[in-house]
Amino acid sequence: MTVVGRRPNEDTVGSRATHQTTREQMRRRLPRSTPDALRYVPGVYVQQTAHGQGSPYIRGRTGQQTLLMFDGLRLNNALFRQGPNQYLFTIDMATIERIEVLRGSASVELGADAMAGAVLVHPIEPIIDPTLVGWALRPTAAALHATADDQLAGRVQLDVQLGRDTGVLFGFGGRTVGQLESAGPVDGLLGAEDVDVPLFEKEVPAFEDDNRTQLGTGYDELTADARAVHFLNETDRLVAAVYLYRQFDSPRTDQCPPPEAPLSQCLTYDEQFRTLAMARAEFEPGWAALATLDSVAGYQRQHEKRTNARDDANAFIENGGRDDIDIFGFSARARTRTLPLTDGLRLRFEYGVDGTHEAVSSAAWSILTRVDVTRSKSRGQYIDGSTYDQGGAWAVSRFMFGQNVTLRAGGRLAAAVASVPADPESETRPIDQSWTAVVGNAGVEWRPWSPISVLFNVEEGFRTPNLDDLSARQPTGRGFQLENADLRPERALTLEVGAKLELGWLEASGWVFHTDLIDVMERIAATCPASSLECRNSRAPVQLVNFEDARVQGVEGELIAKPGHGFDARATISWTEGIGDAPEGREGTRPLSRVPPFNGTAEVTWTHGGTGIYAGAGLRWAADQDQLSFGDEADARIPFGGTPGYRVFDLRGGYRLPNSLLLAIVLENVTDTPYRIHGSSVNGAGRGLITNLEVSL
Amino acid sequence: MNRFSTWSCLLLALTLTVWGCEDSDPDETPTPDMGMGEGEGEGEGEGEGEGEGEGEGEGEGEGEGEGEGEGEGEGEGEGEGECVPADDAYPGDGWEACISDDGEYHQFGDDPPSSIGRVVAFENIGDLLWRVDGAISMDDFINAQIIYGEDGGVGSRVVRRYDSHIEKPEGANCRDEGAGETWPEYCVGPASIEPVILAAFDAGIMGESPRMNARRIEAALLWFYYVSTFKEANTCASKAKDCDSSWAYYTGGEQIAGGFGLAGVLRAINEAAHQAVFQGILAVQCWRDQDNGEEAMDEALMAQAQGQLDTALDHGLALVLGARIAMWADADDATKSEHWAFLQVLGPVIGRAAKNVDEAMAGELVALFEGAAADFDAARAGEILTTLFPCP
Repeated sequence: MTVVGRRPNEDTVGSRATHQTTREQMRRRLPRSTPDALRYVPGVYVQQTAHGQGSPYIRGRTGQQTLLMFDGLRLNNALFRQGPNQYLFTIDMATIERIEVLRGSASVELGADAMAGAVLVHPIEPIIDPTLVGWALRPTAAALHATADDQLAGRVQLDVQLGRDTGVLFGFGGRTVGQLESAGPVDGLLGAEDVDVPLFEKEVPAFEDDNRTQLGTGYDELTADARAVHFLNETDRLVAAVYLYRQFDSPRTDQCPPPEAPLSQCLTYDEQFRTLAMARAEFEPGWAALATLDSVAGYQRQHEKRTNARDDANAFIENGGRDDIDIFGFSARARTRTLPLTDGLRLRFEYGVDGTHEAVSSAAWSILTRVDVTRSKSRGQYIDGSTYDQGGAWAVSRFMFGQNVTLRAGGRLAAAVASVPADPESETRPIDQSWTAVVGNAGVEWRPWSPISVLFNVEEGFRTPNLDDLSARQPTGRGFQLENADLRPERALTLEVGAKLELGWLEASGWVFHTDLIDVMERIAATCPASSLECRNSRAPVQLVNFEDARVQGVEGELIAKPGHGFDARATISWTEGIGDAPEGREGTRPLSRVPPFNGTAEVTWTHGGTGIYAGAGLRWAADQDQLSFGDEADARIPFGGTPGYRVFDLRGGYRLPNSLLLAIVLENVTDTPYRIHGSSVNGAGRGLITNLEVSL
Repeated sequence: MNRFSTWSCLLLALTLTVWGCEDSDPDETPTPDMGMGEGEGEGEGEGEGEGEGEGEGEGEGEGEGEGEGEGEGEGEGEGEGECVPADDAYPGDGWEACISDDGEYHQFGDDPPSSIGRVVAFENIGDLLWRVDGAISMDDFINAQIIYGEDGGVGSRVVRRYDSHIEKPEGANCRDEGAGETWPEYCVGPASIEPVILAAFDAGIMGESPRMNARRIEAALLWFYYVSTFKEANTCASKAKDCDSSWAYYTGGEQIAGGFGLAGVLRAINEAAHQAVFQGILAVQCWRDQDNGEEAMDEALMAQAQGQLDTALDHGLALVLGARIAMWADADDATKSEHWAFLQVLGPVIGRAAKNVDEAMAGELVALFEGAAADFDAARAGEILTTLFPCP
């Protein structure tokens, strides 16, 4: 009994468009962060607003419209904002065993926000050897260096086994990351003279004099984690775990400096912390109504502190803010035994309940640095004392007709309640809103031949307005966003058809999807409250409204070949199109914002079985993206006319001595190609070497 | 070895717990207590600044200062009725029909220009610093500087403002650190306007000469709006939405019958002069409405429109100065110093425009503003302004 991970929810995974990124793959690819680990996943495109941030686009949507989960707990919370966010970055990559990406709506089983897909992160587990008598310690140390951003990272890990049933894993890590050197500026698809936007708005990122090193990059990071697992018997177990992530001094690249501002101006996330503590119980009583039960309860705190200031001799003010959210969450999932109904027809149910209570603390202040005077503002980005509660119950039935056909149908009843106190000084009115939502799903899986399955799914997704939508006042890429207390839930309906081939040496899958997004929130022009000078100073005061109906459609494919002799070859391809109603005051339709371009990947790896030496290469490519929303055209992060395509090659090599040594080397961006992931503020790394050494005793 | 590993790990975890704790929010700090009354500060500040015995009586009378609208009527009617618009001025027969013909400004962009907020800031700061009947407290300066320093606020534009009247030096970029020293004339914001404002805030917060420093801030901000109105009208040639900013920097986003910021100040002094500036803005809009490609091509019409606005702005600035000179002349000893502080900041700004008319008189005028208050010949300064800037 060697435990390497929690049981995957095979039923959810098997019938949907999914992809798993394993720890072993991450060790060979050496991504810079957890979001970066998803860059070889079909249908996923990872945007970076800053070097220390990363937000996966799944089927053309990101942020609030995708769900992030860590070990069964929702990372999404009531402060997730529209558009890309940095929160997946605050999961320490070193604690991850595998990352599962589920594409398409999935709110019946996963709850709110799973409108376009979900990222399910599964952590590493302590090793438990049931043949062991007494106790054992398995220390591991790892160090990584990357030349492009002068990154130096390290982690020490201690795996402790106590008797046959209990294991505890401790980890402690840190890294310091310097400014990221790219291969140079990325030109737009059009010249400045051909588009209706001013030149200065495209000066992102800003460069050092070498025209390669990007300003507003670099950060420091500390992590710690502990995970204890105790087996009650062969199938039942208890888990308790704590994960700490501490990121310091991470500049937001597109605001360092903001377009047209002095080069010394920078918005910096001084602190970006995540604290996660959880307890899990997994039982297999084997009863007809309760064959398995997996329940998890957890506490999370997301802490963010930022400063916007100049760093020059005439600097006189630091405008700062802090936003914290405490989240208490639980989830319980169960399934019945497979029940025979008639000859050849079997039935099984999965069902569950989940919920969170979230409480917000928020503050803002100004410090006059030349005279050392501090003044607090009446409200922060959010209203101090706001709360958000949400939860739901769901059930899915699964009818199995022989071995060839499975029908699936289910539903969820969900509710959410938001409470925001008033702040008369800032003209913020109180909010007491509640919503309910009912969503359903259905699917059919047909196996005409055992290696081949054909799948058709209809899945609904939803998200209720969160505290960010309802109450935030914050700068956005286009202007300044004001609160709107009268929003309704967004909904999504995904239709997808897929086929999977599993021959052992050859695996292939392909999906065609269409997602309707209904009552999608979109920013429209708004009027600033007289008291909010920050709003009045912005280029464009905006407000979210349920304005838009939109659709996203696309095609995804993946091919994995293992022809033998140690070769492993993989390729992915993704095409997505997003179309929405034109913004208020305009007619027709327009592309949705920051939809990824046609893109794909290819990898080949050869491993010598006898020695553990391996070598390989990876390619990431993207076509031009000139399908831009109105907002994209004015977005400083998107070059004139759109983001040009690219082809980026990596070479990889290394040596693995099982259970004792791993040396991995990646020569990234071999051709030193300037490139930018569409919608990012940061250009990709230029040619550089990443070296990782891991030693276990 | 194993025991060492265990303790090392626990020690590291403990370190992280301590080191990784959240930094607390900064506490509000009390207002600096300099132990100085307003009168003390006033006299001291003036004496230092002038070096000419201007401190006499400066410390007294704080709290009696001019209230809002102090300039009203000062120059009313000055020049009115004597001015005839230039033959090629907008509106006029020489202009083809355009969007401005209804006498209103119509935005090119979809969104209200953010410049409006930066003009609102002028009014909000004014409520704290120069439209105050009683004493100006150090807290007032603190709150005013926080308004000035809001993210994206007026301070964020002052620091990079360049003067479009000055030919751009090769390689000049006013965003660069040290731009003010390298290109002082062109990068007027970092070189001249911001230092005046920051020094005045610093001194005001420390309780030094509150009324004088308030006036310095007022004058420097008016300088910024004066420069910005023209600058945006220039960059409108390549970006039509900048015409909106030009309009907003002058009027605060209002039409001819309203207006605050620079428009409010000028309108209170001379309605006709305000209308002339507004007509200049409409001329710029009319040109851009007709010459409506991505890049403006009709250089003659552009020069004509921008010239009309420039002339009107210069005339308006001259009237603002003239009104302040009159106030200085009429003021008692207690309030003279604050008007002088205003004039010392904004007075020399007219020098560039004056030089274009008469170099000798311009030199004389600037010398008067840069000289000592005791030597200031108000009548002569007013006469030069009237002579050089008779009509918009």
